[in-house]
Amino acid sequence: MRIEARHRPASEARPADLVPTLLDEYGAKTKESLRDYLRSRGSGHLAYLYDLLRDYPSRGGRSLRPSLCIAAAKAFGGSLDEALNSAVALEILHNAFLIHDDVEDLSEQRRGRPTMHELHGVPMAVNTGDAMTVLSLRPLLDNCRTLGTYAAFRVLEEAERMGREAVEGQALELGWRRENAIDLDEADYLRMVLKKTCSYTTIFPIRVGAIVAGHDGPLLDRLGHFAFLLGAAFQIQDDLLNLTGDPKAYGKEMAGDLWEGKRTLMLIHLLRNVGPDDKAWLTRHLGMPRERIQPADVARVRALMDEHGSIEYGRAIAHGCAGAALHEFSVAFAGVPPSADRDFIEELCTWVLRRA
Amino acid sequence: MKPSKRITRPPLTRKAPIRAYSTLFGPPDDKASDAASPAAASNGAAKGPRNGAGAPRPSPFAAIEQGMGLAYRVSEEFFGPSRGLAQVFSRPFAGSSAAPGSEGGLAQLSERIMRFTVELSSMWMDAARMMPQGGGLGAPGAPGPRWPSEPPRAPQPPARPSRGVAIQIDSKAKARATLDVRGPVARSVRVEPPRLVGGAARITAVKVESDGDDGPVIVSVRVPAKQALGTYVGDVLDADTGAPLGTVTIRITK
Repeated sequence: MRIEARHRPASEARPADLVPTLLDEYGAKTKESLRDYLRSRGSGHLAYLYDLLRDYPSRGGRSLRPSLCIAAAKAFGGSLDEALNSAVALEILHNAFLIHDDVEDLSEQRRGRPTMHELHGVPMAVNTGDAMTVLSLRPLLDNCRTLGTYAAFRVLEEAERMGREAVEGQALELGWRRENAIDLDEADYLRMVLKKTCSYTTIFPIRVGAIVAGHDGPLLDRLGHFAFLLGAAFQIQDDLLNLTGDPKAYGKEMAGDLWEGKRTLMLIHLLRNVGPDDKAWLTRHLGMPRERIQPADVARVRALMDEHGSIEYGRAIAHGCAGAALHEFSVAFAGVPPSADRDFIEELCTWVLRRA
Repeated sequence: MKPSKRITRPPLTRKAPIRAYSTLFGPPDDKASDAASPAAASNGAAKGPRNGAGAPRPSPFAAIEQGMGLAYRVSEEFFGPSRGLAQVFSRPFAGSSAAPGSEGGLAQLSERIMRFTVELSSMWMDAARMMPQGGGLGAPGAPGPRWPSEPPRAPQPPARPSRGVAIQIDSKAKARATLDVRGPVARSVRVEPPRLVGGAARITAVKVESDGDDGPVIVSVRVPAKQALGTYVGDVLDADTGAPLGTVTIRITK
């Protein structure tokens, strides 16, 4: 195992603001490089594309994914420069997914502002998302220069798998809503989350971080376990914030998941626990198109969730996943020397539950 | 320890392993155990306060157990059994730290629950370790796709004899060479002159030698005295087909 990291004596206390500090630092590096990749390559009418490309990335966001990729690379002995192209590619692809997700979900707000299709219409938004997907290939190709052909090819393999899993997960979620699936269980939800969220939020960044630092083989499976559990905790908490978060801090449409009929863990729990009358009503309600749903309907679903302990249940499962992630961290990172980056990754297990 | 003093488990009443995670906390015919099963916990059958509709509500711990159990089950479908985990159980958990500066009821409760879940996780893995070799933690079911599975590929040419590869470096400056090649290599190997990352400089004195027909392939790199500092990367290629086999990385520092 080739490990060189920014060492930190084990006795040294980790800084209180480690997670936000590294998110800021690595996020800034990623955005700086990302701006170069999204720079206009033409003039005049191409503003229809390039002005829109820069919109979502300029709205902020925590840069969790690229930061995780960079931190994993550094923890395993690589450097920021070796991980940067992969991190940038991931951030571009993430923004492409967000644009398309917003269209598919008919979402109105993203990071505190109207979504791209609300601002520019669905055709322009879809084209911008397509463009970002294509442009995410360039930094991966540039990996050939920084990492060599072999490691670049391995990263590309991971990227192909990640992209495929993510769209499969999205298809599952959309299909469930279209078919008004109500017989789902928690394992269905977790499989969907592994594909739709974890594949590109945690699994790809961590595994690729290890690859660019020169690792491969069984370690990647161990990292996969850890990354999935971390990502599952992250997604469940995200779903909880949609229902219970601070509207000012949230940045997206509050209770949007209820308006969209998303099959979250809390909804699956509720469907399993309501009485027959409420279940019949819920089934009809979930089958309705968004434009026919009334605020009172959403309020009723939310009240039923409180009544049946669905929120409390989701929170407990999120804690279970985060606890298991901490355990898997201690396995996958057992031989990794202490460093700020290692601490950062470990801290994420609790940070995902603490974030507002 | 003498064989006669070894601790043995009583004979099991069952004939085959029970791989449902819910049975790990109690015998499968125990009603309490049933209550901790995924469906039961979600259905509100686990021990705990009753909700407004009169149905029993699962305790938070039952739900936490369930969350871990389901998550591991799904994780193993994709990444295979968590091999090598047993090694960590001999030492205390080094893990979570409370959110510094976030003292308060919720944070403390979170921390307690997190510690609890980690301990549960360890118990869980201990139980799994006692299972027969190859037994997964998940409930029976058709295995799903595994993440590392290879995508479909075109038929490969017949395998040729292969052997190991090593690197040696000759440098006056402080330098470190890393050879990153997956598995044994083909008989004939070519190494592209390593190029400076972010620059145009190259290290051209690279030789590939073989130690006999079956011995390892030796990649020799000589770093000139005035070579620019930095990281150099060169590709290792199959000399016949040009297929990439790996990379050589040279880091030259002060």
